[in-house]
Amino acid sequence: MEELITVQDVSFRYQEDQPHVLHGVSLSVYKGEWLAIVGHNGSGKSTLAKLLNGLQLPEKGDVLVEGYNSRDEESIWEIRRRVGIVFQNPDNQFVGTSVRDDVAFGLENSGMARELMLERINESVQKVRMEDYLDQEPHRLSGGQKQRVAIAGIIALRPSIVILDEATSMLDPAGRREVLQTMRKLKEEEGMTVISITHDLEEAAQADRLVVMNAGEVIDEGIPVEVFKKGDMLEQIGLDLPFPLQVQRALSERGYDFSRLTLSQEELVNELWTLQLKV
Amino acid sequence: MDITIKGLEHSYGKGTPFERKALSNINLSISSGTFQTIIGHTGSGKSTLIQHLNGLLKPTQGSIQIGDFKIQAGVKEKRLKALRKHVGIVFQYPEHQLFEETIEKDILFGPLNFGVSEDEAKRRAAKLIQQVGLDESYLSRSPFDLSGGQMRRVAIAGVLAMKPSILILDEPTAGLDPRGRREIMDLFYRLHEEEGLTTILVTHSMEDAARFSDDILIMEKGGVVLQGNPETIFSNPEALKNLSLDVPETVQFIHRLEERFNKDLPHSVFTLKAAVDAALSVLQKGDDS
Amino acid sequence: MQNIIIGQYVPGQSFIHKLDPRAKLLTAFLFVIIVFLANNWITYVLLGAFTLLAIFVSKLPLRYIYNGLKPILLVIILTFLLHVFLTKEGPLLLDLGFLEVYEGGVEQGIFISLRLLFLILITSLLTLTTTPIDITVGIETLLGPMKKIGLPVHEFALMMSIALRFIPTLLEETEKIMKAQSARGAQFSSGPIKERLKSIVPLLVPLFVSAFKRAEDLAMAMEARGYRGGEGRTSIRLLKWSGKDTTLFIILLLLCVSLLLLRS
Repeated sequence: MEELITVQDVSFRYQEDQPHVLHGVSLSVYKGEWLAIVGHNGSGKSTLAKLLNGLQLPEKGDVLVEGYNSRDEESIWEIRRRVGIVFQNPDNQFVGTSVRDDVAFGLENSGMARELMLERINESVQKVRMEDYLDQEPHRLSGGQKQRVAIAGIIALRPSIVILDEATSMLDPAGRREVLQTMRKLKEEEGMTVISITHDLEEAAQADRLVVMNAGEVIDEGIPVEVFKKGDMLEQIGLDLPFPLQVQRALSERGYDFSRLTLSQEELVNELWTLQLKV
Repeated sequence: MDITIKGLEHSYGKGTPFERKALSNINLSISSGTFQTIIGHTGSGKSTLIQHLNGLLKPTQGSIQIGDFKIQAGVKEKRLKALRKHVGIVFQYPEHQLFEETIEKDILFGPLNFGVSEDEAKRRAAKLIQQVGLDESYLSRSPFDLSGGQMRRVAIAGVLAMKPSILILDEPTAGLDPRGRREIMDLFYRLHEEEGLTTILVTHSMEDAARFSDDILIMEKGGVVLQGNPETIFSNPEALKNLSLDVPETVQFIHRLEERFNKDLPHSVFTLKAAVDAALSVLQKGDDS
Repeated sequence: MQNIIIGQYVPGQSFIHKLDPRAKLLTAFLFVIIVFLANNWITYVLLGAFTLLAIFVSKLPLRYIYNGLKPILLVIILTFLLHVFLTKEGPLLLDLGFLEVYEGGVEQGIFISLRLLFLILITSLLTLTTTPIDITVGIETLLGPMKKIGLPVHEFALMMSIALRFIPTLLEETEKIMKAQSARGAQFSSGPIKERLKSIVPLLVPLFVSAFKRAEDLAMAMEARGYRGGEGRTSIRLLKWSGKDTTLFIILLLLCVSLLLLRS
């Protein structure tokens, strides 16, 4: 698999007299995957996101995006064009006075010709299904709609990676679904690489790969089922296991043996069915 | 204090071209000591409804009776401040209301406004700061040096310091991580039990609704569409799905088990334990056969 | 809070709405100058005709225009009275003993009030028919050449447009914080001035804290989206100078010439 981002032994702190927020973090992001980075508030996961597109620079170690090192001043703009971030607060990242203006913002920054911009804008608002709202003002949009506009603004620049930095944590369930569905579709249809920073393990369970962070360190990494085997560890650092896993763990304690871990209710009920047949 | 709402209607921007009806014909009574949950999509009118309960919004039609306070359309209520003393609201993202130099001063703001003596207010602050999970050393610190989650706790302490008998919670755990969410909800439930509060919770979390409520109210487009205890509400998952609302995981799970194993299972409890028990019962019944 | 409509743009499809904002800005600017050319009845009638025609063509509901005028009406009346009572020219019209009114005073009062009225009407017409963001873009383009002498035209325009973008957000926020503090027993609208100023602290502090937080977030989001100042930046908003705009200028020119010929 092609490696898009390489984080090598990165340490970081906001100010010299403050403690480190990240300690010796190393990880890779591969083309076309959905990588979930989980951890509770203050675990360093959002700081990591800012290092991935050069909004912050490592104190130690390197961040490489498709070969560009964020330490090189020349590379920063190349990196930012390749890695887009959807931030947490839908209001505080909406720059334009209308949907069209906002989607255009990144394109304008890149100095694109107006004709091409219009083309790209139409194309990307269609992908997030916001084409009927082009002239709408931000305060008339729902949180989920604003986040979809933010996604459109990013994909208009044709990046290789989109980071969702707790992008759904301020949304209601409907908004959360809208945003995640939009991103999943982009991943399936356009082969977009997605890094989702979240404390929602239900969402993380659907990722291709998981990175668990705690106190500024990567403490585990792997496919969800493998990571979820260490349920106690996840609970200890303040994360909630998905419901089917919780049930399964309680049953294991009562002496029932499962052949595998289940991350969905459907799988769990099937497991119970086979278990019941065996007994 | 019992709450009785009769024929409540509210329109924003009455008499302007932007007039929008947010509530229509709400009839509701909440007896003292109830844990009442209100569920509905954004824009269903739930926030508008709760703001009527302490006179932040005035009804365009109808009336609200809270204890012996009565708020009526077209009638000016002079005792609003007295009413607000009894009805505390924890707004969404309450940390945005912090403004004092120290945490203690901020907690004192409410009680002092309502005429509580400084000594008494300080006693309350000292007790509350611990109840919300911080210690007394925080009292002299600035609220703006805290983490988001801690600020939320301080803001909640500021509302609780008024010793309201009715506590309204507007999505109090929005944006917190799972541990923070659990701790805050447990705190509210403990207070509800210990102080005999009437608690009105607005939430999107079906899990919380199932766990804590005596009664659940489901709103849609400014009206009440469903009401009942958790058992009644969740016995009909189809109705919730039609309103595109989620069904609690325990309920989904028990229904799936019933379907797959073709058995009737109890539906009245919504804890993880209940789900595990249901699973055990289908497994053990397997033993019998 | 909902009564405050900054800019007071009224959407529409009239001739005036469709004009290039630059044309409207320049017209308003020139009008402010040529108003001072008028100095007799015929020239004032001419200006009045132009103003009324503009209002008529804009198809704006007169109620909006009246609302826009209301706050200034007092100033206009005061100006009128001041001139009526203080100018002592021409034949005496009225003698109340303590007060004398001369014909020149009345004439002067009417002229100055009309001048004020026309100025306000034309500038309101500009904001009523042009979105604030179009005005901003118009100003940015018109002042474009000033970039060469180091004037931060782009930064100014961006600042304006971000301010416009956040006005509704901050108004909403103000209302929210007011409610939260009211629920904690705060009172905003009673008592003597000193008390009232004190009572506004619980509103202002959170508002500032939140505005700074938003500014910080926004700056970061802008940087993440590749913002690095105005250099090399293109714009999605395109202004088109069309026949309509030229027509407006010819009318304005005719007005100007007529005023020069007819003034005494």
